[in-house]
Amino acid sequence: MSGILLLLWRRNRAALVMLCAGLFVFQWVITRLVPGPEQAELMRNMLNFLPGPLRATLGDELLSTLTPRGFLAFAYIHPFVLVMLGVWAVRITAGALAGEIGQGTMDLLASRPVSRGAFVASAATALLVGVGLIALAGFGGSALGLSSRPVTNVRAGMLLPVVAGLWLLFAAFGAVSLLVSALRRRGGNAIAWSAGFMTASFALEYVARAWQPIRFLKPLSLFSYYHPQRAIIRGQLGGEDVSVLTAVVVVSLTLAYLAFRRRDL
Amino acid sequence: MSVVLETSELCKSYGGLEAVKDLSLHVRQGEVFGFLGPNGAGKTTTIRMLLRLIKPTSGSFTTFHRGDTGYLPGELALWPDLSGRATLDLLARLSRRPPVMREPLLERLQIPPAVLRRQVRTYSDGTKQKLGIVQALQCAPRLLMLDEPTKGLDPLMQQDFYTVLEEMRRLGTTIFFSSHVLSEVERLCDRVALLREGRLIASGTIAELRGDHPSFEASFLARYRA
Repeated sequence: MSGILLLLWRRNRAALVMLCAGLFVFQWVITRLVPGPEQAELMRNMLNFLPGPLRATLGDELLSTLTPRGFLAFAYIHPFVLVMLGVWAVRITAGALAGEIGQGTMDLLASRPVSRGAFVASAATALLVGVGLIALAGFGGSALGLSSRPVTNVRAGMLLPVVAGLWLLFAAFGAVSLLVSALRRRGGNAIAWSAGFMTASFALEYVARAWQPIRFLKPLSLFSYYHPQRAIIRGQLGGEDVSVLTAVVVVSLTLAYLAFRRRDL
Repeated sequence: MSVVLETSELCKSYGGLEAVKDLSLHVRQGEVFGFLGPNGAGKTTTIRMLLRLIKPTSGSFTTFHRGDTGYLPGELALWPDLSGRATLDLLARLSRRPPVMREPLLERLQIPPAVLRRQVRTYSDGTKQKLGIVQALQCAPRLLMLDEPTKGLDPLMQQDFYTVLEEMRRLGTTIFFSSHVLSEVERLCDRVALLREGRLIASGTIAELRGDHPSFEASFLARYRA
């Protein structure tokens, strides 16, 4: 393990364990709450009485997939899940570059034979591995729950595309956050910008669904490329979603490297 | 003696502010080179350029690879949640050299193993500074860059630190350090450079700089009040 990666691990391992445990328990609890087929039908009928704009905000996809399987997929876009993964994506990236500069410890690290690229690569590795572990912990909770409480027509493996989509979404948010971190001088400042971007993206996705005049802006939200219900039905991620999110990851990480390589510390 | 550090018309500007202007100097192998000047003279900026933490606006320099250089920052910051031992291990690992000097330094600077096991957040300022000195010297670097190294050390510990530096010099280490303390510069340095508002105003041995003045301090004050 590289020295920088070791430092990131030492400073963030407790948070990583807590986030994994939190998501594991959350998804396990969700399997206890999954409605049966009759209950799901009743809920679908009730939701159909909601006004159109409100139904649109919830997502028409949700209504059409209000089944035990759809309910499980919905738990992967629950705000609790998004917050848990968002905390890791922002914490690890803001702390690795801007955080070290802001607290003055970057001088000790960068005065050693460590390339600027190694800083960005280590932060990116910690981001991608951490997001993967947290998402897999959630999957573990679902799998354990489903093994003790079988749900009609649902196997834990069906959730794997959803988990992959979740990983890709937060890899993209984290990569943008790493770019912000490479440009800022203080960790708090980088956290504020990154969290603001994530919140704006989330808000845009929901508001644009319900409000026609700004619907054209919806593709600007990264959440527009994450469809857990669709993924669980199709058994795979949408090609466009994968392409856009992967492009955001690659472009953001490349820009983060270029910006960090050139800047004064 | 061969030159191990050389700058040529080195400049650094921040917007309209010129922090370092046309700085040309050289440091020879095994020399203790003092870098003196009031606050804002450009000492720290120069050291940070030489460590490649910041890029010069113009000019050039040559020095050792960073793996051969030990550095103690003027504003030392450490990771509060790491233990002293973990901090030293991490920084030695990043230096890619074995910490052959660590144990004698810990003994000399009186940092017992029990203190090293504690988190840095529990350390006094003086203990942090001692840990900073150990991290800079532990891998026996060929070049030491020290930015006001005795800041925060009590007088007894300062004497121990001077002894450590003299031992390092005997081992052939080149030492480049900035200071405000004229007495320590006079005691330790073979040659000195004086900086004012980013410009080199004089350099030479202590005797050369003293010239006709009764003391080095008098010569220093005369140059800065001129």
